[in-house]
Amino acid sequence: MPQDHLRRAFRHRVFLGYWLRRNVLTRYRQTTLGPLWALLQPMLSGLVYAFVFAVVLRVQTHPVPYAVFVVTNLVLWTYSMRTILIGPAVLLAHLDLITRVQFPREFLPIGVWLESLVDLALGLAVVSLFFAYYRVPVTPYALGALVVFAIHSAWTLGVTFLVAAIAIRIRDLLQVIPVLLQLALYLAPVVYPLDLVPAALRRLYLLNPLGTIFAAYQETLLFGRFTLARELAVAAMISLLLLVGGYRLFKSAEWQLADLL
Amino acid sequence: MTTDEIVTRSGVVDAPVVTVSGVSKVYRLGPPLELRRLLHQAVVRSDPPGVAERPSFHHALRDVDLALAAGEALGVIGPNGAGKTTLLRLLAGVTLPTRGRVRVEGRVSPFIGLGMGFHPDLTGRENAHLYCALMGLDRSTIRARVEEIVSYAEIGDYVDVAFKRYSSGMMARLGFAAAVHADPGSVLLLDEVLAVGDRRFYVKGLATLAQLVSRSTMVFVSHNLDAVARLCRRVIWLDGGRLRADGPPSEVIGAYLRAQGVPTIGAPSDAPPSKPANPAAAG
Repeated sequence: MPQDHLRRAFRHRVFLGYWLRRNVLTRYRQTTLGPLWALLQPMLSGLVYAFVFAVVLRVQTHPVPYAVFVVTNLVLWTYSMRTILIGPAVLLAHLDLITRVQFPREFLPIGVWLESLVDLALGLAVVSLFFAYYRVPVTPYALGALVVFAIHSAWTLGVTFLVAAIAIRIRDLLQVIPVLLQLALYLAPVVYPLDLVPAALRRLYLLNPLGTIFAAYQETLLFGRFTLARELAVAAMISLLLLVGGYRLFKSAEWQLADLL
Repeated sequence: MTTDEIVTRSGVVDAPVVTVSGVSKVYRLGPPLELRRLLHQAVVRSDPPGVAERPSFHHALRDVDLALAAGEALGVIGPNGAGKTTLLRLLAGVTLPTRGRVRVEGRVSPFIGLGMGFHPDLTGRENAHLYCALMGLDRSTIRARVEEIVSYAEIGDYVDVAFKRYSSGMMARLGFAAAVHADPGSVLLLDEVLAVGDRRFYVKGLATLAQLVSRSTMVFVSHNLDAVARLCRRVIWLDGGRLRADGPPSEVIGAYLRAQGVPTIGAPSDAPPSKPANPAAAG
């Protein structure tokens, strides 16, 4: 029963807090760069994309400079990609705990998600510097981005649970995930704006929840408008289904974790 | 003896706290399920070269029946691969039996091993906090327990030093201290926790475990037959997944040592430094 799962998870919530602290602390203690490390990756890839898309291909993201556009998107993109990439892997990395202690297993991927949230907060601080430097105005529409963020988070956690549930059974799935994520980057408006997608294809394109989510981020955060309400409602439904379905699938597969030999 | 009631030594009929009835556990070994293999099978309808081996199965436990009354301390002995760890996993509820039923009344302590979940970059105190949280304690209890743990472990100023800088003895002491202080439930599962430190700490640890025995139900897995004989009044011997003997320590340990071809008065070579035990006298 899902309610039982959630009740048990709530009873163990103290552990989740310590687990998150442990992971954030150790991650930043190990590296001399500390928190900068989490920022460096989206910034560096932002530079590469800026060269390819703004300098070589002359992509226009008017009225926002491409630098602001790409940094904002990549910080948000890294948030969910890091969770999907590391969340399932962390289960296999902690089999010593899993084969001994009966704690809610979803805490391990959820812990990774929380770490990604911490990274996101740092990333958004840098994004706000970009906004200030390029004098990009923040409109009231930015509040709408909170709704988009909730949908985006549901999608991210849902996919993480789904991948974890399958990876428990199929061992080499995790090796394919980075490739799939790299492809997914180009199927959503992350490094190019939605305007460049041909109008005939746009409806199909926005059926991908990630496509709608990122298009909606851009409208609300960068362009100061909101025209995708219907598409976003569909994306919200798909994301919610993914979250509930992924979680249930994960809970039914988690038993096999302790039997991996 | 049925699995539903036990006549304890005093003759009182007691509902068992732990019931294991007809339990078998089979692990699947052999080639893991891989995307590569699934694709190959779908396309060419055969296994890809190199992974043609068939899955095989390992019977970790076969038809084990066991019932434990409240307050009983059960020692579990047997050679490596006998199914001792699998039994603890089943009792801890981290895995399900392939056949049969496992029932545990009350709160089970997690299956405790030494230094579980300790992170090398965290200090001793931070690790103790994390360990207690892992055991499901709440914040205020954790604070109290952590103090007990660090003082029991005798690690002095090292409490605030990264765990990776500890000597192996300090690591083992902190691990043991955490294991016995972090609120064990009403049913305690202990796996080889006494393989720690020097003679003095071993004696201290044994005394602590003896105290725990007096107020909880305990399943104690160890190769240290001396400790098993001292702590437990009942011992089972697992061999190849089967329950080979169940009875008072003197009998079971004696039979086990005879079967191993070890003279009965010698402690096994992997026991911590301690005087050779005479199981007959200790039981």
